[in-house]
Amino acid sequence: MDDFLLVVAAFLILNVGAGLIRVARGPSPADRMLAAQLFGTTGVAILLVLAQATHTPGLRDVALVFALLAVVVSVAFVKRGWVRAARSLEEESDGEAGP
Amino acid sequence: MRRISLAWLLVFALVWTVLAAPRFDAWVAGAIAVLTGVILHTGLGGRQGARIHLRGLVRFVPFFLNQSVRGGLDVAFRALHPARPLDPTFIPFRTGLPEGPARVFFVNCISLLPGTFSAQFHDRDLRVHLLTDDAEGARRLETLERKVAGLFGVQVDESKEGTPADPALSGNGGQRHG
Amino acid sequence: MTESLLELVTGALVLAGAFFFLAGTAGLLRFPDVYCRLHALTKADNLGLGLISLGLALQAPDWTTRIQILLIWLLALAAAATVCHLLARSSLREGVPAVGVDTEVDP
Repeated sequence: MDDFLLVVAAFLILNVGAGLIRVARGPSPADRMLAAQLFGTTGVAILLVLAQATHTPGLRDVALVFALLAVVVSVAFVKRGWVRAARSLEEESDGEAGP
Repeated sequence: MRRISLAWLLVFALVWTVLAAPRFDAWVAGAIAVLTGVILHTGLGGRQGARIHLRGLVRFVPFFLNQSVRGGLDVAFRALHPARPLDPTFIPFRTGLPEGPARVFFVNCISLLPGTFSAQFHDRDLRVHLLTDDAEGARRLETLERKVAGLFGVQVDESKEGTPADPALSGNGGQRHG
Repeated sequence: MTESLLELVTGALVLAGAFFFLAGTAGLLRFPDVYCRLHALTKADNLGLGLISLGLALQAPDWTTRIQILLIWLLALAAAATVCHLLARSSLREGVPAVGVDTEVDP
């Protein structure tokens, strides 16, 4: 069982690696920030699997922190990362879509 | 100044007990975490009449799980299909749920159900992204709305007249190419 | 006997979960715009995490661990919904184009 779970964990890590292609390509900053969502969910899964496979319950606490960090990182990005562009846009059309 | 509820204090303490396992030395940090949690929760308006109805919960959980599975299958099918069948669009949606926890919960659930997520949210008006543009989308949102109303024991205000307060949400983004 | 059956169920659930993570990544790479990609990540990955959590909960040594796993899954769900909404909203505000939607008012 433990070996099987280690293989699954490795597979999930490969998955995150493949997802990084999207982060590298973009094109928009939000596309790159999808990494937060990817690491959030897949990271939690990897840590839960590893906690079971290696009998390290502490890893579940790390999983919890991962889920929280995904939100914090995204809020930071939305508030700061795009802040310059957002400021100039807000003046003409607050919240409106369109280029 | 809102009063801190004893019930929520207990809930937070219970969550800490589960997360930290019943280790006594963890309770120094635990006491600080639980108190901070309750104060923030109260300060952020966590007590504005959010009461979960048990009967609503019993109905909501299977609905939510069923929809999650269908949402996952749906998106997995589209992602792995060679032709990548997608027909995405934005639609406006006006919710009849009262302001407060029920409405916020509803908006969050939209993002977890098949083919929909909420992209903008202003007062009663939402802008929802659909993975496939069909009549089902709006109908699914109404079903979810009813289930959430049952969960919180509130009424859905069916009168949906009036124009959105935010012009960006009135749906000119829903026009389609070709 | 019961134990090996339980292991089988865990194995099936974990494999199914891994499949949905694969599908989510496929969608992340193949879908045409940021909005569709958000669908792939929020839906497929959350179902994947749910299945893996359920499978692992069956192997958990005690009930505290099971509730812990459940709490982690619920927290990850709430986090995913929040992140999805935040990224979609700021993408719209910044005018990131969406496929199939004319973001400009017709002349």
